[in-house]
Amino acid sequence: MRNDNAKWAAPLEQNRADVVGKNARLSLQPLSRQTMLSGPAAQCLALADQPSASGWPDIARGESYAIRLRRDRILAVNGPALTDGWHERSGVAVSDMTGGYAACTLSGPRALDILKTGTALELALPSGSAMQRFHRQEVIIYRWQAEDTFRIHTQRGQLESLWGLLAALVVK
Amino acid sequence: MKRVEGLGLIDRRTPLNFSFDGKPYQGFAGDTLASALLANGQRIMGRSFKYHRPRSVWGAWFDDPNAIFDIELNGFHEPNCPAATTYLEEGMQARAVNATPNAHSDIKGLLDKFNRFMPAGFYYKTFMWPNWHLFEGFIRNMAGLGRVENVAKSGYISEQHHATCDVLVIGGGAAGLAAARVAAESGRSVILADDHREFGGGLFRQGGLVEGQTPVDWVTEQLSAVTAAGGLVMPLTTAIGVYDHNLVGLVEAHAFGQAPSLHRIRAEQIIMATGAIDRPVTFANNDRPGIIAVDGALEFLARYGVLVGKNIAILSNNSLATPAAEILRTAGAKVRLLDASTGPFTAHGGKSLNAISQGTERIPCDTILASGGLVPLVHLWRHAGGKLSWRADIAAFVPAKGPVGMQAIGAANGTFDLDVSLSEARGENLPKSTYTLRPIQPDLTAKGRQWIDFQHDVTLKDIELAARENYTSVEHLKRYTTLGMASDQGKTSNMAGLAAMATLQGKSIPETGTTTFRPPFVPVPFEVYRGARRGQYFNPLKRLVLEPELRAAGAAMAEYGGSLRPAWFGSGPHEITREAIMARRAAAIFDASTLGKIEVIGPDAAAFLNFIYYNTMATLKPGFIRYGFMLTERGAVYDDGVVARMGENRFIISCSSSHVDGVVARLEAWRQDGNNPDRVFIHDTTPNWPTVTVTGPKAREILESLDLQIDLAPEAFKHMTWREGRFEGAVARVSRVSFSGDTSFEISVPVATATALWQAALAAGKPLGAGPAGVEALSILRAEKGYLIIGKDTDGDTMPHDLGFSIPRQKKTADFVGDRSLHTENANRADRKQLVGLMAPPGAAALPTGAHLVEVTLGKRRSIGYVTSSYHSPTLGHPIALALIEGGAARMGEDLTVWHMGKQSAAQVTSPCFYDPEGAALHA
Amino acid sequence: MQRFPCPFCGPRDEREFHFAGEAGKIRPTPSAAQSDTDWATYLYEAQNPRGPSREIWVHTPCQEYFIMTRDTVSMEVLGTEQLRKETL
Repeated sequence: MRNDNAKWAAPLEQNRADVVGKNARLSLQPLSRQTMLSGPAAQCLALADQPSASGWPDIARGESYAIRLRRDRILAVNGPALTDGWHERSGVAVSDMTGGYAACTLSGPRALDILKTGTALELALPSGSAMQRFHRQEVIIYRWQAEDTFRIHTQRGQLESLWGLLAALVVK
Repeated sequence: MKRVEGLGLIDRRTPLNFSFDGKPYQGFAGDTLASALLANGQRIMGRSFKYHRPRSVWGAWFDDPNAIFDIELNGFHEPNCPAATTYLEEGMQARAVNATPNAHSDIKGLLDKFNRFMPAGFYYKTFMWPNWHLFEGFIRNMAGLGRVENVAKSGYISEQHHATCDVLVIGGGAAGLAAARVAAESGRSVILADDHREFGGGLFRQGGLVEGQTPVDWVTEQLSAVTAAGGLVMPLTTAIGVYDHNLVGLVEAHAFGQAPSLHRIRAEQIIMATGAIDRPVTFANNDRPGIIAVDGALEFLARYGVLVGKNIAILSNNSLATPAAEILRTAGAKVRLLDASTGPFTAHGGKSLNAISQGTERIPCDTILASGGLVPLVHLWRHAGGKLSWRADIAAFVPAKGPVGMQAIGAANGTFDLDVSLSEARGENLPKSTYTLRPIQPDLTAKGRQWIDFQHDVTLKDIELAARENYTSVEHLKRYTTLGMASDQGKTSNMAGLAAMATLQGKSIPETGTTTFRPPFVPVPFEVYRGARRGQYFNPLKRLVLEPELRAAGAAMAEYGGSLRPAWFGSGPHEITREAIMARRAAAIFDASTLGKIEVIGPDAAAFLNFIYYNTMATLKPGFIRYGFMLTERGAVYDDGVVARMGENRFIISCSSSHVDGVVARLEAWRQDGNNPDRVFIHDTTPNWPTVTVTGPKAREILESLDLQIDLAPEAFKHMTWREGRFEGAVARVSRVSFSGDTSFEISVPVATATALWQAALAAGKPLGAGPAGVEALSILRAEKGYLIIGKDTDGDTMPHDLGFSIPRQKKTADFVGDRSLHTENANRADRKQLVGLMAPPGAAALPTGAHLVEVTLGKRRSIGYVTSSYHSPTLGHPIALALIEGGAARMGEDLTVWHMGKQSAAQVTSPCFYDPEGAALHA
Repeated sequence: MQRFPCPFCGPRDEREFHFAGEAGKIRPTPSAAQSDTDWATYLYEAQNPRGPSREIWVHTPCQEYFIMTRDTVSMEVLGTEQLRKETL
């Protein structure tokens, strides 16, 4: 029985300041809705009202888009409101994950190099899924709007460690 | 020893001050510590590990096993620095290791006089009686290469990078440069790495022109061509290992005090152009300061402008001796050539050399340059699983059948002529080689000690002793004599050692074999492997949404099954008792967010869960909750938890907090391997639904004031059912399940609402005497009720019927995971360990967790089980314990003997349920 | 470190993959009707061949279970197949 309060720094405020370093910036990325859809890929897209889903190294565009997580799973970001559970007609399972994942944005000319410290990621090496391991932590990584802007999602409980790792690399 | 004007790659306009063993010196930018000391006439750079013999450098780079320094600069201290590969920086304070007070006059130098009492195997044979620990302190004090700080260096963090390329060329000598240029100009992505600051490898020391250019100009041209074609050049970067599927680990050195970077490069093709080093000649006193590798001396001259002696004897068996002599003569030395294959030779002198003799002839000299032939550096080839073959003409192992995608060129491939190397690197026809060599063998009859491993003080006599005691396998030889086990890993000593063992046994070197080559090629700090994964980031805990609230309420946060959760609230562990009493008298408010919320969705969900669970889940009705076990196929209990049916095609599994990832993985494996993956899906929504649990007699009152829009009356909302309500406009899923034995409600809400819910629950509880409680208090409550924790109150062999849950085993007809394993001979044994309660006699203290229950037959103690959980129950006023005991269920009321750390006490077997066995409080 | 081809994601580092059993090992059904010997064979006996081996692996980030044939001596990956019958 120990009190480990000092060992584990208290989590930062939700409205934390951006971390800015040479050629890189890290900011928290609020998203108003995240929805996990599993089922045949085309059915998931239709239900989420998305034309396509991005894997790696695709660039997702717009406020509302979909990310490919698995062969039969997408994450709809800022998509339509859907009921949790089984959607019989499409054969798709739906779960709200708005609070389940937290996201941050890493941008700048150094952003990709920072990502490559923790994963063997290459623009020339496409992947169906945007799921990656960054310094062994499970994350979703994709580009958004720009060549050097990366959005990184992680399970909510792992945001603090992801943020800490990235912040240290950004200010280096 | 002196600097020669006009030679070297050093920057003579930039002098650098440093000290060695306390004395001030000056060198130049571009010097290594070794070259700077030699230039100052300081030859003795350390003492040997075992006998404390004075030593100087043998090699000019990583092939030097002798000069190891402790270095301090600007408050940063680093042990185990090879002087020959550490570039000089202004203000460095270096100190020789294994030397007190300094390398020049070491008080332990006397040890050398006792060398005949310290042969190989000396430690194994000597420090046995009466007890190793008697000697340990003294020996540990003697061991080691420098002083290790016991405080972590702040800011000393290795950067790690991942990269890929078509061609990775390791070694920037002539062959490597030529190969990199060809590859880059053919349009392939190329990375060229070399461990020196300057590319060029052996080109500088060989002297003369390269394809009509000076070495510096030729190297510059190749490098510009490589970079112009898009190639990347990495100086100061050592390839330390080649791993499966062409992954190469490279360590990039930075300024002293800054952690090296690690590059993990995956290459389509690896070109190994790592070069070759001189094999030492085995002769009497061959470890004396001033006996240097031929190549080493040429490197000191060509790179640092240091001529290592005035009066030099070259003791060599190969054709490179003659050009070496020319170069040294041109630089101003007197040189005499000796044929190493004629032996035996003896070196004369102590801290300084004065002669070498052969038979009666005594040749005065201040320096001996030795070479027993070039040894290709095949380490990386062997890391990757490449084979070696023996080439008798050059008396060396060279790369043979290669690993896929790997190629060896130049000296590393046994190609020692410059023009042949260049042709080989460019894939052209090979001109004829001119390198020749006369084989040498150690002379077993020669007088005097002949050194094999300089760094570990292994002599020919030690090899003879090992052979005599039948440690003839090279792997045994290595471990018995510690040959090649020093920090240089036998780079220089390996071939001489093999030659010695071969000679002793009358075998050839290839028959004797080589030891295994393992990464890293050079010593690297552990830091390199650690990188960013340190401290909190090594194995980061999952964090709760409510953590700021919990801390504000006074929580002591601690690690529980991979999550950071409150252990208790308030000033110390004594609060745990207060919280447990509060929970039983009023109510406790917990953060239960870590409990699993794994959704199983789809038309096959019910059948799937029926197969996954020991208990029948197919008959569970929407709105209801059922407790169940998940088993392994071997029948052991893996997890327990509750399953709530949300609708026809949707269930939520609430598994143990620490098992969420494991349960999800198991479900996914069964889903894809054996089921139709289009008809059932697994969504881990645990982090999406923080949970606040309210438990205790006042729980319902607290929930009433939360306005959840649910009928909370006991008959309307029964134990083991769930309801969907609202809290502040958001969905609130409320489950009536209990892990305490009292009326409990688990309220799960979206992340954005969690803080408001927690604050509202605390506010509602306060006037009723309720408040927050941590994991520790909950552990007491659940043990009072006999509720188990998988992995604590069960072990890897516990089956559900050992825990009193035997109905599905007898009645369930559908297949389920682990079913058949519950009916084996092992599963039916009467003496299986079963979960029971234990009561200590009145007034006794709580039993120690882990204590054994023992049976004594004919004076022999035998363990029949052990205590799994034990607490003092504040509610009941006496200690309680749970235990796994052989045939425990049949032992109710039996008095047993408890054994712990040599002490004996008594306990009585009871039911594991101590609190409210009728369940009145649970269903209230 | 080996590099394995996930049929969905392409080549990824070995550390992202878990071994999930030898391919072709089907759970015997109905399990209740199995003899002790047959059940023990299912639980404990593995071919563990020296050379080409057909195995089930999972790419943990995208949770794709697939069959991989690889050479246990040379570490060469000889090919992958999908575990599920039809593609989506």
